[in-house]
Amino acid sequence: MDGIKESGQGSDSDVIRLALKEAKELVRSLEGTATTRMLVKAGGLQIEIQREAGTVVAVPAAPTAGAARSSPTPGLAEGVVPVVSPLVGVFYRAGSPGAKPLVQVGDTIERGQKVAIVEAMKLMNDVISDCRGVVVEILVEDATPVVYEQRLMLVDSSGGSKG
Amino acid sequence: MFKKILICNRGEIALRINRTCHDMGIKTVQIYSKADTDSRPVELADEAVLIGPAPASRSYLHIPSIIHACLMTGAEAVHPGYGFLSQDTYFAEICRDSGIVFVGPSPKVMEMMGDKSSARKLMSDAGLPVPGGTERPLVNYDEAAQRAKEVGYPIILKASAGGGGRGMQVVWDRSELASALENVRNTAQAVFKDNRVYLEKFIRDARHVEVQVMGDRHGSVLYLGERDCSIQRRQQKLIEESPSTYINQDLRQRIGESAAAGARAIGYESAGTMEFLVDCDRNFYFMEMNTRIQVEHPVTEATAGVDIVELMLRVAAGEPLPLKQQDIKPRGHAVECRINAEDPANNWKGASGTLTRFIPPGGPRVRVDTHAYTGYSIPPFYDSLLAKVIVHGKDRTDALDIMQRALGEFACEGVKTTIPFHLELLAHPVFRSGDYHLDFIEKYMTPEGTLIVPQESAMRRAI
Repeated sequence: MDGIKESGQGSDSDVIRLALKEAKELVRSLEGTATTRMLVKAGGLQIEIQREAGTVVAVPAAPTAGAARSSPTPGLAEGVVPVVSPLVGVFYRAGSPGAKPLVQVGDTIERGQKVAIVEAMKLMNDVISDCRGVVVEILVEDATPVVYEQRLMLVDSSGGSKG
Repeated sequence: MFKKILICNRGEIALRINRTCHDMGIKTVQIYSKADTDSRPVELADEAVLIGPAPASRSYLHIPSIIHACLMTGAEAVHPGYGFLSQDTYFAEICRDSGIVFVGPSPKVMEMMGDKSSARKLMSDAGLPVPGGTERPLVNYDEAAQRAKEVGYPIILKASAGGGGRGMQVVWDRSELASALENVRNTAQAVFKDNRVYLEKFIRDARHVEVQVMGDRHGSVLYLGERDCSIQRRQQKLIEESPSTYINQDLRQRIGESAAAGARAIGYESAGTMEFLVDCDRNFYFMEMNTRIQVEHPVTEATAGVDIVELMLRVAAGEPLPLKQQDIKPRGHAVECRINAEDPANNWKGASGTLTRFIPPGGPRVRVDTHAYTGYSIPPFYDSLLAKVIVHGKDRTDALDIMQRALGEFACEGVKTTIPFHLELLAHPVFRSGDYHLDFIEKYMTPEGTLIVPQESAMRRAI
């Protein structure tokens, strides 16, 4: 976890408005990161942003060898892994309103590729694929609320490459 | 009244809130982390939402996920329980801005009372006695030395943003002041990200007596009786009881009325606890206010015959309190033992593991609040509270006897717990006598985790 704390002086409302604008830009610049908390205090200005170390990565709940891990909906075909939601929020297929979906069924995606967005309180969190493969199914409608680790799409990673 | 609320907590308190909601016909949404997937609150709630992985920062403290869970499920209010986000002003503000009722006081009041030095000033202005000390945070060592001299040693240094017993140090004389000031400042900065420190006269040989207050939006504030929580180790309460046998009826009424007056002065709404120290001469001093439900609230529920969670939900929904001060007539004596998964012989180290056998006590005048069961795995990520045993007797001796019987039948195997400690405490002559102070554990506990019983002659001197 890291924290950014900025302090300055100022009580004028224009200054505060400016500060809020700055803060919003700061947040925007943190898109794709797991910001857990942000605090803005005006008047004796204080902006506090708390993030988890590292970026949000959707870890596919791939069955590990020998481990008796129960998955919410078992029975996936060999080599097919789900991309799950990194947090509670609203699932978006496109990076911005009106833009093309980040991925379509049939697309080949790379490990580390941004495949969707989960928005939580105006913060856009990237959903990153943890494996290489072909998108075989999108499980959630665009702009639908999702919970933590909910399966968002299925990726066939059996195409000869390692996940 | 609300149709559906979200419970933003885990463990026994989440279960306890679920139960009152069901009694009141309110549907519940239980949020949970991956570590709590197989838990009783999740099982008993009408709906459950997995909000994140085990670490609290990504689950029970992760505000965006919690707000989304409310919006997704249509929960109208959030009950925060204790710990986690229960005293987080920022969370309360976001709830309000998102159209969700936060079951607690207003963010403004939370903020005022969350800062210990500001709370001290406000309560002093409201006429409550506070120990001598500084009204504002100390600027530097010279000021500290000057003020400490005026107030007289021993003094106690406290972090303005402190809580939960952290960020405090007693200073016995001037030679210790410089290093203590640095210590407390550093702790305050590291733990609370706020290095403001103030000082107060240290009250020796004191008892911890707290008053449960309850306010509504219509200006009514009641006091529901006091709890004596003087058996503590490092500011952590182990056993709580009501009434306090240390104070008489006259003092009880004065402390109660002071607590209600203090809460009224800040327009307090919801359940809150005003903590006081009572010295040997039976002077009482305001210490701090907890703006949430407390672990030990069932003690007051037993004696006052109320359901504090129900009252919180009613006032949060805008209803006036269904009681008047004259309706509160505490009856009998109640005691609560906190059964923690901890090893007193190993510096109270928290234990995690699986409960191989768990059969809590029962019978007349015994209440057990617990989320544990045989086979339950205690996750290592959260606090160690496993169960609360609350008994209600006709007087203190009767209550302590019932507690001995109850804990004697409590079967809990697989992890070390504080049950053996409590059994020793309940049999201890000084504890039984009711004449002891906050240093009881320091005085009578050995490093091996057992209690020393003073000899008869020493006993007479001690009490």
